[in-house]
Amino acid sequence: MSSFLSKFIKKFKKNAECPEKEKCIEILTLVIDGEANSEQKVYVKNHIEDCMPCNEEYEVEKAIRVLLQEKCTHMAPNDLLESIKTKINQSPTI
Amino acid sequence: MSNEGKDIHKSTKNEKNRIFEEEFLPHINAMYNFGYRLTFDEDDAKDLVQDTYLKAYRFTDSFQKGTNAKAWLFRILKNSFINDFRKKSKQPGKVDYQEVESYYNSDDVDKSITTDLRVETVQDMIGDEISNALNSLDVDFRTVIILCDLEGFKYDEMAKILDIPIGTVRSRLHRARNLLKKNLRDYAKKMGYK
Repeated sequence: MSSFLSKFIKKFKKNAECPEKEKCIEILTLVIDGEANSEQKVYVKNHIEDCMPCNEEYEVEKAIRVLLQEKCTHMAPNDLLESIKTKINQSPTI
Repeated sequence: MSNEGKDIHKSTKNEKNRIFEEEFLPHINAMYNFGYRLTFDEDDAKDLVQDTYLKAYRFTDSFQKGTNAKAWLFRILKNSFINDFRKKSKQPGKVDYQEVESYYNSDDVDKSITTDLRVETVQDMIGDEISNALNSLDVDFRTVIILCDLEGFKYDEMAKILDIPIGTVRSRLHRARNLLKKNLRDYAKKMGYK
């Protein structure tokens, strides 16, 4: 297949709608969350190879999680651990 | 007899300290982050985490060995936030979650969210966009994103932490992610991404 034709088909698929979009998104999410069974994993693997909209959706979902983990984590301040230990040692009721 | 009694007490206390040091304290960063994302205030987050650890120490006996200590601690923190903190919170009054959930449970939300967010656009968001998008979600939607996508809890663990059925965990996550994507898409449009 010529590269022109390949690009055309890829672009066409990307702009196309997946006929089973709702179902696919639900299963994609289960896979990413580590909650999918083996049948659902196989379905996603096979489906996203052919379906560009779902492939894009899958990659977007994963990219958002990476971004969340990179940008939305705060380390506890250094003094918090010591402060907790001190409170526990000082408290007569514990 | 009295010495035996002391030994028993000492060994219980040692065991309690061991559990606290080895199973509870390693989660301090995740706990602080959860507290901070709930309160948006560093001092409030510290208070919340400290209260949680003091409660956890006091009630170590009710922690079932071999179960997920992180989930147990998160449940205490979430309850402390709702029962103790939210009442005295400096934040403006919260919207009742049931109202929010029924509003967002309308099909319109899903229909309005298109999948035109592209992976390149998400990867180009190197600033505070994701943090702002997360923070602008209602606290109950924010919470499920934090528990699942940041902390990697399973659905059944989230159900226990939040005292809700697994089906509600899934539907709430679905809504929360759609709203997060909507926020990201709005940021992308503002910034002129395609």
